[in-house]
Amino acid sequence: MTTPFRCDDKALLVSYLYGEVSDADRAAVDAHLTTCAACADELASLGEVRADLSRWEPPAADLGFQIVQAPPRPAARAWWRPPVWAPMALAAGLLLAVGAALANVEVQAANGGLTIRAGWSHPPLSAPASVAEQAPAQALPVKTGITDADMQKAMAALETRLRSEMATTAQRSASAAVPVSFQGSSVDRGELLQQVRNLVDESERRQQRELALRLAQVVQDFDNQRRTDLVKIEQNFGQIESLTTQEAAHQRAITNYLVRASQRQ
Amino acid sequence: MTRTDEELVARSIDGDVDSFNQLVLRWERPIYALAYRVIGREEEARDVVQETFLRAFRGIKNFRGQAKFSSWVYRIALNLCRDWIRRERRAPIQAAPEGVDLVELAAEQGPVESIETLVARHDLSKIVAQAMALLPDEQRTAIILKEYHGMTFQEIADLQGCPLSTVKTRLYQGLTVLRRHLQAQGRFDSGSTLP
Repeated sequence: MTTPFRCDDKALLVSYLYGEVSDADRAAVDAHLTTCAACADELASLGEVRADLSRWEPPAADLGFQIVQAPPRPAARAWWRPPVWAPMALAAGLLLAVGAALANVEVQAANGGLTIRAGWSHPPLSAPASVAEQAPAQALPVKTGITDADMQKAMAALETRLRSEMATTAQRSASAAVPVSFQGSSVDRGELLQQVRNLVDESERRQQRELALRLAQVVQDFDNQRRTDLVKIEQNFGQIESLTTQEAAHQRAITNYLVRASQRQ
Repeated sequence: MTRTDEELVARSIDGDVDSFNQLVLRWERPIYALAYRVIGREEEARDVVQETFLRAFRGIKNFRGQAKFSSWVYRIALNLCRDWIRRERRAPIQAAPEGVDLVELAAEQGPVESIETLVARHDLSKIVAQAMALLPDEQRTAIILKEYHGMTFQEIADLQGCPLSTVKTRLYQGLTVLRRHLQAQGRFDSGSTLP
């Protein structure tokens, strides 16, 4: 048994109008329309509205949109851009500089050969200059860690060499003057070692300070340059945005004017 | 061989731009018609079509296929139309800038079809368009989706995010307003009377 259609059931009336209705509901509406002129009239007028709506066509438009994938373009080259390997190179350079500073490495190219000498192999600063020039320090391989034993051995070799040099000088000279004697006890040797260590430590501290200062300067320069570039980019974007907005407002004004003028005519 | 939307979507997800362009070719006219009828302006409707397919292209990899492609682009287009209508309500018509000769500028714009020409060509279209413009957005959109895009009540409910009964109510109320307006314009001389 079907439920009778009621005049106020507009949802079912719309469903009937568009044909989205079950057979049972369709039969109920059909039965009602035979007896209710108001509903039949309303349904007919809604059908006429639909007929008029079907006459509403949008204007022909030239569409033909296509998605075009542009070939990948190289990014716009900035006036300065650090290369990809720059961070690695910077890191390697810093590591080398720190290592060289700690080891006080000295590189000399002479007599067709290359000599790399660590700072600890330098003759002691307290030694006579002439002696140091005549007996250049022995070239040693660069080491990252020099033990006290190595240091003592080097100092002993230096002492032996100096002693022999001074003995030779004394023999040559008629003077009776006695050269500075390194002959002595282990106490003298310890003092000398301590002195050298102090000098090395002081040199290391000074070089570390200089390195830190230079690093800070590089970071500051880079940061300043970055800020300057950002300001320039923002200014350029602002100019472009301003021009675009003005153009859009201009076009809009023209369109509005044309619409109003057409409506007045 | 004509491929289905689902096949073209699958190829588009794999990066086949040509397949996506086939989808554009297939759906740009319906989307344009939808946008034009909802917002009532030709140029803006074209912009909506372009933006709709741009968004679809950008988001195609996230399209899970839980809905039909057409429903998906319809939803994008309707959202864009809604955004446009909101913007228009906020932005009043701008006055012409001072110092600009609009007549000269209009001449430079080339021939533009006047409203009169439009009315002469599409008299009934204009009456219908004016009547449709009277409707609230939701009623107008429901009628457009039903009348011109053949959607079911359920599809419209899904697109508009409302219950089925609400769609039917919107359709009935919208058609009733249209009937009154069209009768006032001299349409329906068959003797139908207002309820």
